[in-house]
Order: sequence, then C-alpha cells, then structure tokens
Amino acid sequence: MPFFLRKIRKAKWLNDKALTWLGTDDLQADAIFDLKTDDNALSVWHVEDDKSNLQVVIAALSTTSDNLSNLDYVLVEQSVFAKAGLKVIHTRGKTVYDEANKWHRDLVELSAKSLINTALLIASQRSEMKRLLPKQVLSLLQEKIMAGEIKTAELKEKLRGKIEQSPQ
Amino acid sequence: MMLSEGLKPFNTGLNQWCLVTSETATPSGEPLGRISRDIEAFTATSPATHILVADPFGPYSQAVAAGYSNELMPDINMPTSSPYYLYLMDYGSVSPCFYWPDVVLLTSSNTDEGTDTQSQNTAKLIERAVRLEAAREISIEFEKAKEESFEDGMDSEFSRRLENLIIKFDHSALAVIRSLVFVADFYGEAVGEALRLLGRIDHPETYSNRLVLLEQCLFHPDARVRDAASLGLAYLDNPSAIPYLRRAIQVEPNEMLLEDMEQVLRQLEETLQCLSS
Repeated sequence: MPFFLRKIRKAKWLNDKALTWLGTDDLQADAIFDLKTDDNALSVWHVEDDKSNLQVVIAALSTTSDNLSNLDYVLVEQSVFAKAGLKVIHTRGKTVYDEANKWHRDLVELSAKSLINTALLIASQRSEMKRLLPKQVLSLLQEKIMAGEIKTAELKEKLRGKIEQSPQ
Repeated sequence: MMLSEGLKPFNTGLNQWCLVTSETATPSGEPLGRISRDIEAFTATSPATHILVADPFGPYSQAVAAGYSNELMPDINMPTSSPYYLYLMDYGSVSPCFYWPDVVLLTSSNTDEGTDTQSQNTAKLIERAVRLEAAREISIEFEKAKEESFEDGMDSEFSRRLENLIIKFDHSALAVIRSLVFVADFYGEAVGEALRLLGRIDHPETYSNRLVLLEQCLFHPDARVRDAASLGLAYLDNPSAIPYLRRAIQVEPNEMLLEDMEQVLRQLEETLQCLSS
C-alpha cells in the first residue's frame, strides 16, 4: 500500500510526559501549524509502497528551503486517509526538482473538522515520523546535483552557498 | 570643558560610550557638581548613547541621576530631555527597575581598593550593562516571536534578528538565551528556533559557548528543548559533544526523541572517525 508523505516538525508531534496536560491519545495544538492548508487543500507527496521514490520526494522538498536544514516527515498509508473519506487529487509539484513534481498530491475540500481528523490520523503514525539530519540532506542534494537532476543555480542563495562550500 | 582627573571613557562594544570615574562620590559636598560637569564635558565630545552610574552610595547616585530623569525624583527640577540611556547599578546587583530611557553617567566610586580591583569592578559593571541591554533586546525578540510560526529550513524574522543580536552581544546574548531557557523557564517555539540557530550560525567568537549551551539543553526537562538541542549539535557536528549525547541517550524517556538523538550520535561518531583517519 503506497504512502502519503507530509513535511512536519517532529517536536510539535511529541507526546511527552513533561506535557502533563496532554492526553496520551491527543496531540499538541501546535501540530496543526504543520498542516497549513491553502484553498482548503493540504499538500502531500505520493510515496510508492516499496518507498522507491522516497529519496526523490525528500530531495524535492529540501530544494524549497532557504537554508540547509533537517527534514522531518511522516509517512501515512494512503488507505488510512481513504478510510477517513479524504479526497485526493493529482497536482504537479512546484519544486525545482522537475522529475519529482509528478509525485505531488493535494488532499482537498478539507473542513476544519477533517483537518483535525487528519492531524489525529498522522499522530497515530508516530512510529512513521522520521528525520533526515542537515548533513544527510546535504549529501542527498549533492547526489541529485551530481546526477544532473537538480540545478544548483535554481536553489535559494543560502542553501546554494552551503552546498557550494561543502566538500562532495 | 575638560573631564575631571581620573575619568576614563570605555567602549562597551555596543558603539555606546560610557564613562567611568575613580573619583570619590559621597553625599557631602562637591562631587555632585563635579559629576554634572563631567557628564556635560563627556557628552559634548563623545557619541555616547548610554551612561552608567555605579552606585555604591545608593541615594547619592540616585540624586545625581535625578538631575537627568524626573522619573526618579520628580521633586528635583533639572533638565529631562537628555538623549541618553541611564543605567544605575552597583557591583553586587543590577536591578532592571534602575533602567530609564534617559541620561547616563558611569561613575565608579573611589574606595580604598587598589587599581586592579577598580579595573575588575569596572569590567564587571560594563559586562553587566551589556548583559542588561542584551536581555532587553533579546527578550523583546522572544516576545515578538510568539506571533510567528516556524518551519524547518525556512528563514524567519526571529532567527534573522536573533542572529544579529548574537553577533552584536556575543557571550552576553548566550547568557540571556540560557536564562530564558533554564531560569525563566520560558518556552515558546522560539526557544526551539533559537537552539537550531545556535547550531547553524557562522560566528566563531561564540562557537564554544554555543556548543556548551546546546550540550546543557540535552538535559532540559522539556522534550522540545532537548530535541532542538540535539539538532543544534547535529549542525555543529563537533565530536566533543559525544559524551554528552551518550549520557542524554541513557536518560532520555521519550522514544521518538531517543531515535533522533541516536542518529545525531551516529553522525558525530562518523565525523570523529573521519577526523582521526
């Protein structure tokens, strides 16, 4: 079963004992900010069930950064969203990694209730929340640049500067 | 007009000149007039924006300061339109209530102490003044940041401004951030953003202090702070943090965070291996 990938900030999804007011099956309200919608649509990326395109999708997301950074993401089985009745449409991504843009999707016609439901579904997949450290993102981008799939000149200035000054 | 003998201007590093005097300041007699004249002489020839009043004789210095700030002693009819910032402080404590957006003179009251002690005291005073200013400016940024939302990899107004303040205030800025994280028990998403920034910025002057602060934050009671600290250390990629990470991993109760810390540890161990081969 394929997945949807959504970029998040893991710290917002932590359910920590120190947050004594937070129920075990609940999530921090701050997490909702990771699900910023536009025109009631939430941007996600399709990841094949064998995760063969995972690195491509992560590289595409990394190209949108101002700075070299970690990249936190969650993978949720598409069936989970399907069961919740969420509607998905194909919309081409707008990153500079052209080959990856075909994997972009939008969850559309989201109401406030369905957005919160989506957040809860994501929170239930905490084991599928992963992180690439800045150094790993750097080497992934370098790999794609070397392969000619991403053009350095199209990246934002600070990110480009970091890549150019780092040894391959 | 000349400064009294013994007066020395100091640059605090903030482009704000202060004045230090080793003249005796007592509540009786001449010094009040002398200090007033010294303020005039000093400000006539320097680009001062801040002046400090060291205050071993509290009421007396307050009276001096009152000459420039009616907020302090409303009964005294003295000029109040000075463009300077006033800090009134003593060697032992600095109270924020002694802060007026008004005039300032830094005088170090003469005691029987030797010159070395006076220099040390002066250095302490200046450090305190700088820290006070850093605290004021950085706290404002943390307050403003409550209106911002943050995303990994994306520049934020907060991080841009905080980076400038770290460059401006150096170690004082780090001391303020430390107290916001630990002493003030302040948490906003801005703290996480600040700790990431500490790992990311290119500022060699504060490198070792940033490293130490991030290592300390690995043991903070709030998992979000520990998470940001481990990310900051991943940016710094300095293997000297390995023992701290190992210890933090041993006591980390949050599984999700544990996995991320282990990942950072692996990165630093690889870096160590590269450096030693």
